[in-house]
Amino acid sequence: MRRQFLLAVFLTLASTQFSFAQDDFHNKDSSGYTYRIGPVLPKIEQDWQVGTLGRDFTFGFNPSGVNIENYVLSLLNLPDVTTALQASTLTDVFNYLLLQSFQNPTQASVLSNATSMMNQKLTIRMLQDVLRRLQLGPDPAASIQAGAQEKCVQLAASLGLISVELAEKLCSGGIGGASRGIMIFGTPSTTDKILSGSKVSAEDQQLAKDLIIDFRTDPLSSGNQDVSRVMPPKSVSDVRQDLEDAICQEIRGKVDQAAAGTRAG
Amino acid sequence: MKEVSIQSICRRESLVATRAKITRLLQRFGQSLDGVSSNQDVPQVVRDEYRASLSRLLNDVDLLAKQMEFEERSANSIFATLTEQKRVEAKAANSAGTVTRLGSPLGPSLDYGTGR
Repeated sequence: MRRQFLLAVFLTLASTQFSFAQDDFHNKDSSGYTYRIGPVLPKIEQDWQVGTLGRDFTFGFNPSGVNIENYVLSLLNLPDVTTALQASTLTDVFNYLLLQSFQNPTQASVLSNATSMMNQKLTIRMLQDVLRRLQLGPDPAASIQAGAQEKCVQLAASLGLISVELAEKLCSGGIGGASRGIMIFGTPSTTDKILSGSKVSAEDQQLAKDLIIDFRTDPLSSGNQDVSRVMPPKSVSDVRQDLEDAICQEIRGKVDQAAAGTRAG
Repeated sequence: MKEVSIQSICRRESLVATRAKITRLLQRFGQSLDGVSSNQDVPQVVRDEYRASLSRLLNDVDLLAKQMEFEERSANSIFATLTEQKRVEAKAANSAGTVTRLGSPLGPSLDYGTGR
């Protein structure tokens, strides 16, 4: 019992260290991690910075249940990609991936290569998606902080003295709802609040909900506000793809119609 | 190659349409953001995050444009190389006495996006 108490004190002290960095707002995304949000999100200055991130970097959020860390690492760990990423920019990576598909083109493979070029956009979209998520994510320092919380939880849980649930509470500074995987229900959407008093068309309102990150705020008993980040369901790439599908359908319809008219004539 | 040509048109048109949509959204949402009180309704830090998020949307469109431009340039370059290669091969075959059917094309067209 005494050991449990001491451990709880230790963990509380450890979590206090994180709390010092939290000024007025706590921020947690849909993965349940809690972050401090600063006035400005860090901007990725280069095209491609994943290659420069150390192994210590923790991808601290996980929208839509996709394991971004595993995905990015699996990309980075491919020997060829590792080589391509050395001192590379995003464009270099695109070059590399595309040129790969065109290596040793033979006459027989020309058409299939043309098709595969179209399919390459899937790979590129995946890369873009990773970039987008990285850009929308918390700053690396906050992610590392989240990683430290995770280690704190693992330490406590591995000792088996307290429950994982309690360890999560203590390691995250005891803020309610900070456990991983808890979705935020019932808290008002800031995007809705912004849009409700405006004259934005229904189409643009939907687009805003699809593309723009949302924030849910909850007043805390301490007087602070708990701000949750909710990732948007779509990317710009998704919107463009939807438009491409619609435009293509329309064009094909017109071409077929014209062809039918020609045949009839 | 008709399908590739249509696809190419669709992609370009969709990019133009996407840019227009995002630009309009940025303008309208920005105005709405200006219209809400910063003290109570939406905290300043959250407003800043909204603005950063909005500006990234346009960056994403620029990125898509670069990607498409690169893809088209790569494809054109590759098809041009292959066309030249086929021309040289055909010339060599002809000089070696190989007879081809008069007027028949030498294979599938390599002109990307021209509809031929």
